[in-house]
Amino acid sequence: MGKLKDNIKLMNLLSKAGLSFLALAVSLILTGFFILICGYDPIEIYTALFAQSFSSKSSIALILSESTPMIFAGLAFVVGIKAGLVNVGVEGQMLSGAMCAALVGAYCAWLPKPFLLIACLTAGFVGGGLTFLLSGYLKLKFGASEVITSIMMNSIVARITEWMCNGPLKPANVSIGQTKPIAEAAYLTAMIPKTKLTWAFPIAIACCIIMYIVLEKTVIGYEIRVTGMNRIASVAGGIRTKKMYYLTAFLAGSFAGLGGSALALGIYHRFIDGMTSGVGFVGISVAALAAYSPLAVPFSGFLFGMLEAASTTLSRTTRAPLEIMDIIQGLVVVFVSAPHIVTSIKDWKVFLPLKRLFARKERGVA
Amino acid sequence: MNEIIAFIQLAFTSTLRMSLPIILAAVGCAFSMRVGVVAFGCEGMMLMGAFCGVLGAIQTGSNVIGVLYAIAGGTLISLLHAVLHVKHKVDGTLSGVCINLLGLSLTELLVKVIWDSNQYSPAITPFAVFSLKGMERIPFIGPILASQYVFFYITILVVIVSHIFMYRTKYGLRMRMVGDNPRAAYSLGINTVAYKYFGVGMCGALSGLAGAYLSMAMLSCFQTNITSGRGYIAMVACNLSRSTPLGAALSGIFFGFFNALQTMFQSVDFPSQILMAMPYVFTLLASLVHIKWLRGPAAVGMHYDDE
Amino acid sequence: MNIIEMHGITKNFGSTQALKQVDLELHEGEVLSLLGENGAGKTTLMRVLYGMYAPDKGRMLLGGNPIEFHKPIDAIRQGICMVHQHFMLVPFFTVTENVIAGEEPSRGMFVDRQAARKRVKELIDQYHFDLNPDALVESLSVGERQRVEILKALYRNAKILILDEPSAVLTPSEVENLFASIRILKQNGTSIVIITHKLYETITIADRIAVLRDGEMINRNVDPKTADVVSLSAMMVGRSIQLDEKQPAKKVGEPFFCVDNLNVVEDGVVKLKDVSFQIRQGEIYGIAGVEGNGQTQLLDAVTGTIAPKSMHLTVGGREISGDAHDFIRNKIGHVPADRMTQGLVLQMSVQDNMILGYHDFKEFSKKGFLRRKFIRDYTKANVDRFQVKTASVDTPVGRLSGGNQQKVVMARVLSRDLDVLVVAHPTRGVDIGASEYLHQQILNFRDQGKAVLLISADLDEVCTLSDRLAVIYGGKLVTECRPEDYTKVQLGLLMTGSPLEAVRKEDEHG
Repeated sequence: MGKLKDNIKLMNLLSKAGLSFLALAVSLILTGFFILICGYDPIEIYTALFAQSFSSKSSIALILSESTPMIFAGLAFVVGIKAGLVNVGVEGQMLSGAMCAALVGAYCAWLPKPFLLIACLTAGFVGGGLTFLLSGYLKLKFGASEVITSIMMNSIVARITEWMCNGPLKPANVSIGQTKPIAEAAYLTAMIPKTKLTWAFPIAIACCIIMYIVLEKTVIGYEIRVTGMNRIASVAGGIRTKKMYYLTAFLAGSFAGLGGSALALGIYHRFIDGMTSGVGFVGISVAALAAYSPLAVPFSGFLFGMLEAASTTLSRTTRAPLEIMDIIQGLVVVFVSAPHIVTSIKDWKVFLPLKRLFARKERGVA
Repeated sequence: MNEIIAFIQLAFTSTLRMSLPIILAAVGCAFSMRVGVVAFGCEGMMLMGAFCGVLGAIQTGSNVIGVLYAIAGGTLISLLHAVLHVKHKVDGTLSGVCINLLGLSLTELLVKVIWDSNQYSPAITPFAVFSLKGMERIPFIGPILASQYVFFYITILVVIVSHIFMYRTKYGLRMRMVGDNPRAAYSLGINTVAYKYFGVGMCGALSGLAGAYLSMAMLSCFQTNITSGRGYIAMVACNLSRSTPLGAALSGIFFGFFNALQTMFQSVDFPSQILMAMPYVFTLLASLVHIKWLRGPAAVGMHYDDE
Repeated sequence: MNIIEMHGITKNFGSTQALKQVDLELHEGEVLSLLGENGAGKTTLMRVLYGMYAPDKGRMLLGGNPIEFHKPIDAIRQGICMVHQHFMLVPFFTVTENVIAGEEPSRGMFVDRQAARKRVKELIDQYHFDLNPDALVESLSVGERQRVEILKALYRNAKILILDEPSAVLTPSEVENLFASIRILKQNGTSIVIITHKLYETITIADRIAVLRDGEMINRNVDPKTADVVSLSAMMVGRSIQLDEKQPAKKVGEPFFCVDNLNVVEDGVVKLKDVSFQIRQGEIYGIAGVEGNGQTQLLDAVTGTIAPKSMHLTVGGREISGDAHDFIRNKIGHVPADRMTQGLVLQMSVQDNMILGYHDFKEFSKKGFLRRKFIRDYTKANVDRFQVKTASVDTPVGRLSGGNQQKVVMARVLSRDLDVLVVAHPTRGVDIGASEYLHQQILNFRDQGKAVLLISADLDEVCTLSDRLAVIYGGKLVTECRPEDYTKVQLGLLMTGSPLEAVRKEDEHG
């Protein structure tokens, strides 16, 4: 019986993973056709994509560094959805996290070395967390949909940070809005020298693993999931649902905030206006491709990071338009979230002649 | 004195100009919401509209046909949203995110493939200001009206027709029923799926029109990410108005007003970003208030065959 | 004359056969009661007639002509309308809008509001429905909403009206109104099918009774004038069951579970007013009442699910306050009124549901981590003990049948070390076999010297199980008595607000 159950679990896992791969394949093929229509050679582009991506240590490092904020963003969405909170405010939470981390890094430089970095990360964590916590509060207190409030928080945070780094916090002699550079002690340093792959990446992976354990193995995780699936039952079951909502909202926002901090502390070493450039929304796609499982987030984050990295590296070898990578990103989500489209492909009328052919063959054999 | 009047006129002029795309798209969102589909893909639909409008204008040399292209483009991508959400039951927010991602990347790609440019399409002859003879002589409002595009009148028409459609016709009644209780609508023989497609399609068409206004009247070319979040603003404005066309017009003007203030305050030493954050803060607060006689659809995201 | 004939209707859902070769006919202008247990296939059969399900086999005739429906609207166009158990109304629309939607009187594409209102008003007057055509549906009572549903059918010139469990949500006085409406409809020539499992009501209103059991038509020509309750229930369940077998309490102890001064106010409306009662050890205390008179709030208050305005609760002398978390730790077991929403998380597995509420108890968790292996064994033991039919303990609980779901909820609570059991509608939607089992479990629990608070909308259930009972009306406990002190008719009168003196007087006269 135990074995059977393990098998069922494994099969579920495989079918989910299989679906994600199938979706990926279908969108690659579809995009391939599209590339062909646009007058380029899809095979050339795809080979270049894969060859480039794994050609050297530094290109793999680039992928991992591109995927780091995406993993954080994806995790932020996954955690929220477990308690039934649709976190479309990842973008804003990343910005506020990044701003908090950059401010601590720049203005608390007197802290001793390891503490400064920890303080920065904590600031980013808390900054992002509080941003989504506000949405959670408004939902519980006033019944306002967190989808709407967090979209509005995106705009509000974007405007306020824009003002901060263009106004009071802007150092002299720079044109683009930004804050004072952070102290060197606050840098998230590179794991591999001369690459952008920082220690933020292992932190991201660790966060995913920790969240998996918390959600699946612990009492609090159980309570979060029950709250997300059936709030009424969780109240009757003695779960303090408000606490769970606040906790989850805070955690979800925090991971987004950490993602922002990773950018501020690892890549730019300051806050730059609009530095997240839409990663927050890509995070939703990352989460969908990962089938909302924290453990799968690093993998789907890696894939999206690969596509993102390709946009920068490929331009050196092919003259193909790199926006194609973004299209693949979009299509993957379409097919993952609508598995029926993929699984119904075999029923498409286009394949009827083929099916008949096979049927005839089978009959012939029989 | 005259200076003050001129300033106020300028304020009105640019408020109206800024609010038009938001109003159009917000009315579109209202259609989508009223059939129970969350209007998250508005941004992508606007982008498609903005792109297709310029494409059509360049291909045919006619701006009017360009606008038709824009409407068609917006509708087309909105139908993808409908297929995902209505047929395949994908969560509306998620499929909206897909639409936005695809709208952004597809237009970027096409700009590159068609015009071999990184950001801009070739320039078109933009829509001229639409003014009837002698109109500018009407006291006070004359100059304001005389500096609006034809889209201004289209928008007024769209808002009024949408209102009458939703609240006076039988199709509007059925449509609202679909957004409020799709099972009930289905049980009365109302084709809920068709209405959902219609509502989302209208959202695409109107968002496309709004996009065309951006690229063909406010600017004279397509530029990647030309909407810069206006689709989200429209969604928020629609939410502020509880998904009613007249309310959407008012909230669109509200957002447009702050947009206009921002441009006018550029010379003054006041942080325009704070100004820009204000309508959102207001909307955030407004979404906390429940009004008894004004209510949005009750069954957003629900299908007739949900158990 | 037969207006409807159904021949050999068969319908399968997956591997389960919901209907097996069912024949049924409906005479013009009669009230037919379709009687059967939950899950017997009554609703399925009527949904086939209504076009919601396509039958796998069989044919249907309407006035002698073969018919085939693909969608409900096909049936509606032929004059067959159905009032569902869950109303299909838009709360924010007016009565008129709800009635006309889909078939609006119109001028061109515009709704002709005057004509619509006039037509609806005419119908309301014709059938004495006592509704305001301009009222928002959300402001109406349940009984009024049901009349709006019937109005929808009448507006569409229904010749045949199917009512799915129409009295399930109504107060007894509303049921009387409903029956009056049904009689008027009958006089006007409408043929009516009532889906029900309530024997007494069936006998009151039906002209003919058809009994379904396990998807098979047992007898479709029972005359309610000659039928008796025992033989009908035997037909429903397929064996002779003993109704109303009483098992009195063996040894009743001291007052143990004492509620004093319980007041609940929701949204400014007083739901419970100065409720006080005491339950003794070894006794079942029943609350009889029509739904919507404060039972839900009473149940929620004494299990900590809602915070009452005031309540003084002691269990064995200990004072208890707080939320459900604290109540559970004070050994108060809770079987909620609605297992689907309040009792279970349908998407989660049987084992995850088996520990809900007790998940952070020492035996199930260690240092904040769940003890998966122990939980699994524990669940398996309980599944065996309570005879829950499930493929495995990993099956999502939503896939179990209603009776088995209820067993999971009961097992969760009864396998704990409890002092008090608070149980609501223990057998709602559960077939009779499982009901008996669940009742026995409650009685066994009582016989261990524990206190039980029982709330049920089923008066028979309350009377049979309780050692003492109270009648609740309008948020107040009207009277406290032994079940045998009053007849069921008298209890019914009390439940619907007749003053105590009047009921007593009637007793004297009668």
